[in-house]
Amino acid sequence: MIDVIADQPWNRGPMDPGPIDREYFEAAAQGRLIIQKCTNCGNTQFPPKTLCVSCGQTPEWIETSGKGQVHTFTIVRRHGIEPFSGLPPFVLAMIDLPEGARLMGNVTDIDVEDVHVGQNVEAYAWRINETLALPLWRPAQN
Amino acid sequence: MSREPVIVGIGLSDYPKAPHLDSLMHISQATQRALEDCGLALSDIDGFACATMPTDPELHVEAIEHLGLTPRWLNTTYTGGSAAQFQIPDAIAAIREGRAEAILFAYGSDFLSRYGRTLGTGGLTVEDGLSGPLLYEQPYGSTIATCYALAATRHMAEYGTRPEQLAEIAVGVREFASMNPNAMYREPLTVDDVLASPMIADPLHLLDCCVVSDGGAAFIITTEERGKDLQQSPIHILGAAGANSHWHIHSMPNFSTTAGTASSTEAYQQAGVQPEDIDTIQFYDSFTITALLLLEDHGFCGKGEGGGFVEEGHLRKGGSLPMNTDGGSLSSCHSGMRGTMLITEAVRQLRGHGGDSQVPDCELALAAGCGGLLSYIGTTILGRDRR
Ligand SMILES: [Zn+2]
Repeated sequence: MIDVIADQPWNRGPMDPGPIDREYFEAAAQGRLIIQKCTNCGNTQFPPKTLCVSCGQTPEWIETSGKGQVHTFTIVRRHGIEPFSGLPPFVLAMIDLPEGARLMGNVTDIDVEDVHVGQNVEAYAWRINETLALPLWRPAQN
Repeated sequence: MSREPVIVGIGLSDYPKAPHLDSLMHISQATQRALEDCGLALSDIDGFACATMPTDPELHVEAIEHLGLTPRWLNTTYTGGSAAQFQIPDAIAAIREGRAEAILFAYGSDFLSRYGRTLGTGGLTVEDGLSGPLLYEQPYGSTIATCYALAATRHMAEYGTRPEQLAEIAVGVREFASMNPNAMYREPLTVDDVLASPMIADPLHLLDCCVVSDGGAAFIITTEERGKDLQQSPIHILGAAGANSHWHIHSMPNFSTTAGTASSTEAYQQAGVQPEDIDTIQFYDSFTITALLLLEDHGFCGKGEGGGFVEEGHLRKGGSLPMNTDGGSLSSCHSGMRGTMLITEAVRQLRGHGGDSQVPDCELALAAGCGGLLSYIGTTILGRDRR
């Protein structure tokens, strides 16, 4: 399970995910970080899609450990669009999951200068509304 | 009667700032200048290549109407900034097979006048609610600059590439810009200047990022036979290929390597040449890291050795592999999709019309476009002579 925080009001714009995408953000709101795995061919895929990109069958969801590693990152210093224009510096990263997917996310709860490639991080979720939440990352606790 | 493809006319529209022109007029002006350059008339043109951009979805058909063309052959493939490189292979097949006699390539955009300078650090403004693949990028503050920064950080972590090595790319391109009276920025730069410029997205500074400008370009491909009696020496298209690895940055399979390895392998094979034979490169330099990755992936140095190669000064005026002799998009002109301008500058060098920036004994030029977010790489090899 991953933590779901609700003490910061959502301010990153309206989200209108379609049916498959919605399941991902709904799971996050329930404390689960999920990716798709195909029971037919074994392919894991992210972002989620209606069909397996490898064999065309309908994939299943698997719950991940919520652990990940920073594959690469940048410290964003300039951003031209609200609300991000008021946020810098913040960290935008690609996170490798041991279950076999790579996700974009922000790494928070750390001095931006201390983020590094290979760093162990863990997922948490930021509540968007009653049903949806956005996965984010922070340094692993242990 | 050789139907081998040659480039006979080139033209640029007014740049880098042209508030009096919209995208269509950039295309119109560049086309007229390319026709004047070679001596062909609009009525000779029976093929048209023009990338359809998301921001200008009907530009190609508007351009056809405006120019009064009735093309037998048409290609509007959109791959971002490498669109011209992806259209050339089909164009040369059409010329060889007699499906067209003279193909006009044209691109133009009023990017600076329309959007201002914040393109690289902006994002989509979504009014109705975000959906689709951008759900997995946009809420995290992803911009064009951050995508390239992710690749740069990974390259540094894997190979020890340093910010001053990336900066050297911007310094070399600026040196050529100083010789181009139209370039947007012409004051000489030092590595320290680049490193002292504001950080945009680590490790990319402001001066690691391209300019945003207005501008357009056109060139005309015809048969070797037809090219013989025109005004300029025809320039031969010796190899042309494209390859891709992803579209959205979240799906980039390897953040330190591009599909340029595949596109260049095929283009070298067609041309029968090796990287060491190339006299000048015209590379997409949307960011310094873009050019560094293209250098490695086109085999001018080993994988991971781009930083050291750049520091040795090869890309400078007088070096073994002068790059972006018009000042590139880092210093001269970037109006959204630069693939067409890579070709016009390569042709200018091969004709020996480079002026102060002329590469000595320039026989072979390689142009490499990069479209999307390091996604679609196209390689074109041009020669002064057929080999
Ligand atoms: Zn499958």
